[in-house]
Amino acid sequence: MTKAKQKLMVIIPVFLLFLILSSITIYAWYSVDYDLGPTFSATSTIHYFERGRGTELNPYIISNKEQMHNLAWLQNLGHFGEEKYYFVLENDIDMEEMILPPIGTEQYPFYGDFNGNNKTISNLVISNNRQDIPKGINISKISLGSKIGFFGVIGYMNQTSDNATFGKAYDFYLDNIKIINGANLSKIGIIVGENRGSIEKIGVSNASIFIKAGINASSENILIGKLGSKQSSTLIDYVMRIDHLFPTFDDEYVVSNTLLSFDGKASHDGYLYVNKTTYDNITKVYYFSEITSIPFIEKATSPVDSSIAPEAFLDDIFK
Amino acid sequence: MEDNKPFLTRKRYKLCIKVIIALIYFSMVVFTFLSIDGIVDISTFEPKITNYPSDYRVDYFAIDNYYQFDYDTYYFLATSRNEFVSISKMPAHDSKGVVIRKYQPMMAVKITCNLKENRDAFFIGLESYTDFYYSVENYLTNCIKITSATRYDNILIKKPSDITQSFVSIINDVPVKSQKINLIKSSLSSGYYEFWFIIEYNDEVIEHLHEKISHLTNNYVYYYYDLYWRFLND
Repeated sequence: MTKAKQKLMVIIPVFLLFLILSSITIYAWYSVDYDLGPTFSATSTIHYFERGRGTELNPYIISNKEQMHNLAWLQNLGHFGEEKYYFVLENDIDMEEMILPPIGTEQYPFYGDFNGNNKTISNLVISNNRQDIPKGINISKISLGSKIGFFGVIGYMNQTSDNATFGKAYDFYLDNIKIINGANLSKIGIIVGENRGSIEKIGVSNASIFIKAGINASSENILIGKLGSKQSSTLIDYVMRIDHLFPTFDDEYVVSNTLLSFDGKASHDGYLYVNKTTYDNITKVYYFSEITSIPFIEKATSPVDSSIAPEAFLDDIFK
Repeated sequence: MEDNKPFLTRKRYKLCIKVIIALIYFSMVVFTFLSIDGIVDISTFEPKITNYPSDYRVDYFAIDNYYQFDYDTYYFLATSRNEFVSISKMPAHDSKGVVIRKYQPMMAVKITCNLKENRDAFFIGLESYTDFYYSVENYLTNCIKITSATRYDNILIKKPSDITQSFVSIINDVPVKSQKINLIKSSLSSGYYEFWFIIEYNDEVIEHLHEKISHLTNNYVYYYYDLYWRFLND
């Protein structure tokens, strides 16, 4: 046997042994991360608004429909308590038919400051029906109450005469808003169910009220369901009233297809100051049942007389 | 000048033996280290279970509802067309309970395995290689807790004796993370087995995390998958 062959007979087995053992070791090392199936991810919510701290100088900024949803539910679940938080709309928001509860309830009135920044919230449905509430929200311990509108109850807290806290909403438009009421003896207003705070400069267009069959509801002046305790009867005479609506079927009341420019002020002391010229643009509440379409008549100014039967009322419109 | 000395001298022969012994010893040490650590499934080297993926499977399912009774907690598996609903994203956690979600902020885990021989100590564990981060880009092992449960039809029942475990604990306002969770260790005979677990958010840890990063403008913390399931068959 030559010396070269002797070398090979030693080197080859040692190399092979090294190769086998190192391969097994490497395989053992890398075989620990098994792909056993699907993976998943998760998220948690830190902030419920675009940004801000809710203070006057650094208000909560609302820029999308999810944040509007968060505002409504944080309010109604009592997370804002009796503190005053500030909110500013950053841009127009298309709610895409998302159903919200009225913001603020009798249990937890809205004491905050809602600055609409002259933006428009559109395609919104407000409902106090429990079956309309999205899944995932625990409402077992809260009552949505019987005051319904974009706001449910704007509150007034008389801590002392000098230090009263009241909610405030101003400078925004609501377009294509539908109010669905399922609570008996409720007060309905497109802007606010019951105003004990202050509202100013709010426009409403394409609004309708939907009332479930057998539900007794009323509105003192369509945009505001009920004013605070002190009311200015003189001015309220100019405002339409719905004393009682008590449909036997689920019925929809088209409030207006044009802009109701509420260029007035409803103050926390219960007074309502309305610019009459603007107010004249408010149209009738059309009552219809089993009618799929109805021609719209602008600038009808007479108040609704609930004593008139629907058919007679329609006849009056179509004269 | 020609060298007449043989290549495999006594000295070189001893060196070869030492190298071979060293290699074998090194391999054994690596195996032993990984085996004791519960990482390597030594039995995967057996030809009969090289079809590893068909023997073990992990699935994640949505939970529709849950009820806490005096002792037990019932979790209802979401069903669609008589099948449990698989999900790849755990519904969002929000401490205020206002975020819209279709399912509960938790999920069920089903592990199925087909043991082809008796196991004296069958082991299922979870492992993480990540640390705890104060970051909006985060990891699942930093936000979850896990508990074993028993299935009856579409209900998973968690009993008080079922211990809930998590990777992260908050001790004196400081997060402490362990890298491993041992879920099951038992003696099993061969056959088909199904194990169920409930994965939930660890509220205490998430609250701690949110508090520390609330100055950030991000609205959400995202948790990415970093779970490593471990199986050991002795």
